[in-house]
Amino acid sequence: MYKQTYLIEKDDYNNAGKISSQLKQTFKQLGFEAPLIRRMAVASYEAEINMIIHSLGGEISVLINEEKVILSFNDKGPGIVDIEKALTAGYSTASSKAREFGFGAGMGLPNIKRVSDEFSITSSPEGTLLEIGFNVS
Amino acid sequence: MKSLIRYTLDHCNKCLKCLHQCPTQAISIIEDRVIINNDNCIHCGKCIDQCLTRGLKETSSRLESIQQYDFTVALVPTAIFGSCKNNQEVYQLIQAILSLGFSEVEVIDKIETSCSEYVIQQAHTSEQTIISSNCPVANNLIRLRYPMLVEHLSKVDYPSEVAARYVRDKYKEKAHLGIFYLAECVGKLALAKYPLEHLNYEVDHAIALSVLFPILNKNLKPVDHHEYPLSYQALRKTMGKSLDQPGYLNVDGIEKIQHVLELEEFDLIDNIHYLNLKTCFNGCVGGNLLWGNPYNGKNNIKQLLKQAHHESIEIDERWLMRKEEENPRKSTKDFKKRLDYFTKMNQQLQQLPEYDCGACGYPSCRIMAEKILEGKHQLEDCLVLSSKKRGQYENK
Repeated sequence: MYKQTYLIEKDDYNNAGKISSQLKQTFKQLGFEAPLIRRMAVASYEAEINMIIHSLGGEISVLINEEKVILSFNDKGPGIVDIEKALTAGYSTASSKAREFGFGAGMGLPNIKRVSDEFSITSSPEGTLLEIGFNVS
Repeated sequence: MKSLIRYTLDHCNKCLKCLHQCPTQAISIIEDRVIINNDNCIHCGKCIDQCLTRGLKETSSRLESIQQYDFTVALVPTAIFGSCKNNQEVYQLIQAILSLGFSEVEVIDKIETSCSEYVIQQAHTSEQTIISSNCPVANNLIRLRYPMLVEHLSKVDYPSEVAARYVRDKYKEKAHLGIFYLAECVGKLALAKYPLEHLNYEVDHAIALSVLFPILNKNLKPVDHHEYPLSYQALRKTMGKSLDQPGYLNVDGIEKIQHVLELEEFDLIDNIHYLNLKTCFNGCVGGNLLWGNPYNGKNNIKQLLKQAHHESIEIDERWLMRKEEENPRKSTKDFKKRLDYFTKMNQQLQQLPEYDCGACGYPSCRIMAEKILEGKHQLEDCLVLSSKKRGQYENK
């Protein structure tokens, strides 16, 4: 079993995508099939960007065992008010600053759900936990 | 695949420049010798450019090989004409190449144009981004480091290969025909049966232009009123700018290529249907086996563009396509074993400083960690760790 945790800071647009790049590197080193890496890479990128834009910062962790890759995105708040809406394509609460950087098209969560094999999200004002799983074979 | 690059001296002075420059970490320095990992070498030639003692050399076929054939054709890429200021000098250079002893010289500019136009046509009809690469180094890099993008590679073959098929047909009545490609860069030396014994290539020999230039220089004779105009599209392509319109992206230089491929893997390159990658700076005119520099080369090509032609050549579609796709490398170990190894390696890696200084002779702490796991080294062989340890003693 392999586990690694990374920290994410609020509004750290300049470093956006760096953790996803490291994760992608890990997936390549483990020799996963290309389509699986692509799904995991796209999902982790979207989730990392979400965390930078919307949250007060938090942690990304990856856990890999023989059957699954589990990516967890655990932030410190302020929480998602309406998860149903957030899961609708095109819906976005991104700030104008985020949009300036080209983020916030409102495709984040729906995309993540579409490409992952398992998807769960819980949210309160104290924080949001997004967990997505991918079957290895 | 065997590497084209070899180390030719007994001792290297361990400046570590090659080690740090290699984009795929293919180089180690073990017991005073530079060792090249054949699996990881993509033939970019960065290490040769950096080697202070000039111990690193590319492997090339020799001009003398033309004596093995009854009839020989030299395939000449457009990039070589980066040293010419006008079409008269182009003609002069072609005559000089002929005087090396070849039966015929075939400038492949029109074939380069045909290949390029065919890829562009493909890109128009394809749903996914097409990566045009007649740059073998970029292709090698994608196969090695960006496996997700292999399916984006165009199926159109290298212009040298297409030209060789064309020439074989053109001279089919000639017995014992030898086809020689005059290579502008290290990577293209691998696109022939020799020097590397890649017997499935159509081109028989690839010769480094760097070794021919001194002879060519002597052979340059004044020519009156003779000009050789080159193909417009081939000239543009040779300076790395195939088409400059929205939807087409030209990227030159290995660092930029790595950056764009990294982004493309995340699907972050929007509205681009054609990605033209050239490893050398300013495109093939910056090839590391050419004598001139890429700045003069590009400027000369711009001059030649003003006197270029727009003619094309009819190429049989079957000649244009790559024979068969190489199988992507697959690990033979099952996933559990790979995961166990990866976990152990990361634990080992955490004990190392992760400076990737190269002082141990390996390009990264990750590779050192692998060697420790294989039992070939111990943690004490890390010079950073051992000097820190020494410092602690001295402070006591």
